[in-house]
Amino acid sequence: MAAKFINLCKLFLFIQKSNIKTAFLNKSDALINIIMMTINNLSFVFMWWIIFENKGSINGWHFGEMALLFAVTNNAYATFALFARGIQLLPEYIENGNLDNFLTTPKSSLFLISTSESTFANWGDYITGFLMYFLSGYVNWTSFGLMLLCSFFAFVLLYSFRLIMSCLAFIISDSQRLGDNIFMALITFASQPASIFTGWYKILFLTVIPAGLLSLYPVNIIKEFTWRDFGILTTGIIIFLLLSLKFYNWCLKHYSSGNRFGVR
Amino acid sequence: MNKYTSLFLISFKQAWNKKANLSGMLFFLFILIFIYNRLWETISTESTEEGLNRVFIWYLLFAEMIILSNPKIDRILFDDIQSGTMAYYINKPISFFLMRYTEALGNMSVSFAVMGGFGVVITLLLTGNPPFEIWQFPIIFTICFISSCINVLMYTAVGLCGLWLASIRTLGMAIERLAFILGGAIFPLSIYPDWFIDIAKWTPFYSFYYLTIKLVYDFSWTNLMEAFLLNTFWVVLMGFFIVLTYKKLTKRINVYGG
Repeated sequence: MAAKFINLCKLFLFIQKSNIKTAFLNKSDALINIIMMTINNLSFVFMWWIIFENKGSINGWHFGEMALLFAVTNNAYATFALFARGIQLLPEYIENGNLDNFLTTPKSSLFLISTSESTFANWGDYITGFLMYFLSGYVNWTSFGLMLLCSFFAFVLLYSFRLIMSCLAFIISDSQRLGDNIFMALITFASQPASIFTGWYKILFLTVIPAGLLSLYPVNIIKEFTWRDFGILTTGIIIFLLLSLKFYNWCLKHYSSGNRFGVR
Repeated sequence: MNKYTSLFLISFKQAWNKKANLSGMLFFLFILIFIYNRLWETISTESTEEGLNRVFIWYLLFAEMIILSNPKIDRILFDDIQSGTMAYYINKPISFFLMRYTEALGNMSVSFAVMGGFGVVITLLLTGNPPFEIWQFPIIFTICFISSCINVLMYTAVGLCGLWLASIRTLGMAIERLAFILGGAIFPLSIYPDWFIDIAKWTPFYSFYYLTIKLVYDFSWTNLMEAFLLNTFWVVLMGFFIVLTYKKLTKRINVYGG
């Protein structure tokens, strides 16, 4: 088991090394992409900065909280796009029969699918994420550690949710854009000040679309750590991860081959 | 029947039959309207300005109809250029550029109409009466549809940049963000400081999005004419760019092959 895990880690590092090498075949293009991504993100931050400048606070949330939210969501999305974006292509693999190539290899198919695609430009999300953390006004060693941990948890949630959406392609044909849109809805939900969701809205915010686990709890934990919030966050993340893995395995069991020959 | 009309109709029917895609898009639109309605409601409650959500959610609906109906024509064109598919079409008795653009228009028209119908019902339920008169609705709807056609044309130009760039994903995203910020596609430009609006006025995003969508809460024939004239100016400029790029692209394919 341990040897298998170490082998997967080695393979993961090898894939990442080759991704970076491929991206740097054209250095200027790679760097321009990263810079453009950072500017993209900062323009979105600017938009919210204007809102907070005009209104002061939104139901108790100030720009500091918003900056923490940007830090967590940008880092989580960067991790997803750089190391596991392949899962977003699962519907495409199912439709064109490429999934068979992944299933016939001795390594974990989910691992291979996840690492099959990476967008180098998303290193710019890390730059924005860390920049926003340092601008948040909540900078100290503890909050820095918590920010990293919460970013990782947020990544796991993004990954799990995307896996569930991608698996819809096993059941519904031509569902690439359906999955994309629902995934975008989660990110849009999570990119708003969590304080605007109260009462019934808050329940929806934490369950059907689990954006609260991406925004509300990470921000609360980084600002002021409580075991209660931490417990809710970890439980929620674990439930979604297990649910997504179970759903993927269930879908695989019901998958009939696309009859495409090929070796990967 | 004209071959381009046939292409438009085929693409229209194909898009209409992709029910899963349409449902996903409507779900996303619903989430957007729902979230920003909550946001503006909260801001309205905290400030003295009442009914902000009524004005801004109708504004957001038309903005998103323009943005979301774009069928990612930039990526399709980029793939055609990079994979060499374009070479197969270039010697056919049909303009490759017009073929892709017409197909995109067919796809966009379905999304625009479906989102329009669904969005109007949802927005009416959430906010009540719209900030414009009922007779103004067909005019606003039509001018937004024209903006949507221009939006598709702009992304066509982005796709043609595949002639020089190794990847256009980030450029496409940058254009989208500029539409959000300089075009006021999420928050109207009226909430931004004057210096920022002065910068935005020099960009095509200002007329493609803001001037057009602003008619929702500030309808006047003067504003309509201003939007029309500025849009025409930018479309002519963009047309020049597209024609030049397309000529260059065709020449390169004729010389080097696909």
